[in-house]
Amino acid sequence: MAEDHHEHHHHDDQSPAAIRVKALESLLIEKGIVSTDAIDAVVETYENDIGPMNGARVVAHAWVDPDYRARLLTDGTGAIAELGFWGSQGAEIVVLENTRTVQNMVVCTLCSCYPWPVLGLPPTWYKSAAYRSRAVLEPRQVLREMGLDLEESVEVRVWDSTAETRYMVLPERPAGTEKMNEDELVALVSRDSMVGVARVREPAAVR
Amino acid sequence: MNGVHDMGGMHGFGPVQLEEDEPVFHEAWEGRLAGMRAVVGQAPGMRPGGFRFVTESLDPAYYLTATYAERQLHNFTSGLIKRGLITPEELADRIQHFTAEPDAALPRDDDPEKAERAVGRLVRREPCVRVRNVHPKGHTRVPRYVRGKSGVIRWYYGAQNFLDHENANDPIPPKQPVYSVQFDMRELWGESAEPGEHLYIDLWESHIEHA
Repeated sequence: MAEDHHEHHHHDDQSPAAIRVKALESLLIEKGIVSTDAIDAVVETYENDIGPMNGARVVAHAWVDPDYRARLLTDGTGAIAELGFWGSQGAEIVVLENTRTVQNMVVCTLCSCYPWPVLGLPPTWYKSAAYRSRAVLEPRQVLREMGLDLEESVEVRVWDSTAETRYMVLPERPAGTEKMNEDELVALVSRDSMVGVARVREPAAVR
Repeated sequence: MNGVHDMGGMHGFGPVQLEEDEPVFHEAWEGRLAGMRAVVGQAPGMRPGGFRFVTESLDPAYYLTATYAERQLHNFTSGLIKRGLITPEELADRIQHFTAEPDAALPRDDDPEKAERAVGRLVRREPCVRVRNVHPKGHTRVPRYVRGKSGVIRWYYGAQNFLDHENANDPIPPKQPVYSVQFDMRELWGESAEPGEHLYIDLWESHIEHA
């Protein structure tokens, strides 16, 4: 299962952290505080059910349904729950709309707060000192380094998630997608576009 | 506090490093840790934000060199010890055991109800639910007339404080998802029900079982 995905990583089952986690798991199981199947179920949930595929569904639905889009931008939590996504780190989700002239991007300088129900657990770059320190100081430069070179005229809005509000970006629907249906659109929407550090690529670039 | 966690505007951390096709967990232990944290929850009585302050109070040199998961492991361990769920001595013994025999088998225990609850805090469940048929002696927000009845989740209200308790000075448990659950009046009142009516009631995750 998950092992297939990270063959290229160095695995160390005997690292101090791995040993400590085994020690904790064995103690908590013996004491009846946790159960093996509960841990398995959470790992599977994080790996298969919570992730950017949920956010992509929200974005694609907003692109094809103007009423839904309006609800999403006024009551993010409620509109996202309509599609069945809710849970930890999603009690109050605000959706920010990116356009030709406005690029919203999200950061959490103090920690790594992130809208789990729609995007899953944050990627390493989002939690990194480099992103947390620089996103508020030189966002345009950071975006450029991440592959998004914005025209001077585009206003950049950086949102620092200090409260319990979690932000998700509604990226702009790319040109050339007018004939695509919702399922096809879902496949276009990248995680990074929903954090606001990328734009959704036009279909030709995806193939 | 003016700690190293307060990173906005700092210089010197270099470029943002991107990773293609990043896995959810880089190491198996990160997943096991996430699982244990989801099951154990935040320490009862710990004030909101308390977990963050523990992280921020880490030795700054450690904070900067540790990975996010390593910092969580540190917090989780100290939280378990502070709550008296494990002792430092038994942890040290167990670490020694697994250091000497890294392949030693872990004990196994299965508890579908724990698994259900842990996952229920993270993701949408099937909307069909049944209210637990329990009759607590303390304060509860579940009226008798819905206990044991089956309904459908219609709305999610985010996580709220769980208010049921036996004694006023009981520790404050972690917040829980709150749902608006819809019942057909016939489910509640049988033949006495007026036709074509529904009842909506707010219930916490602990109050319901997912059918």
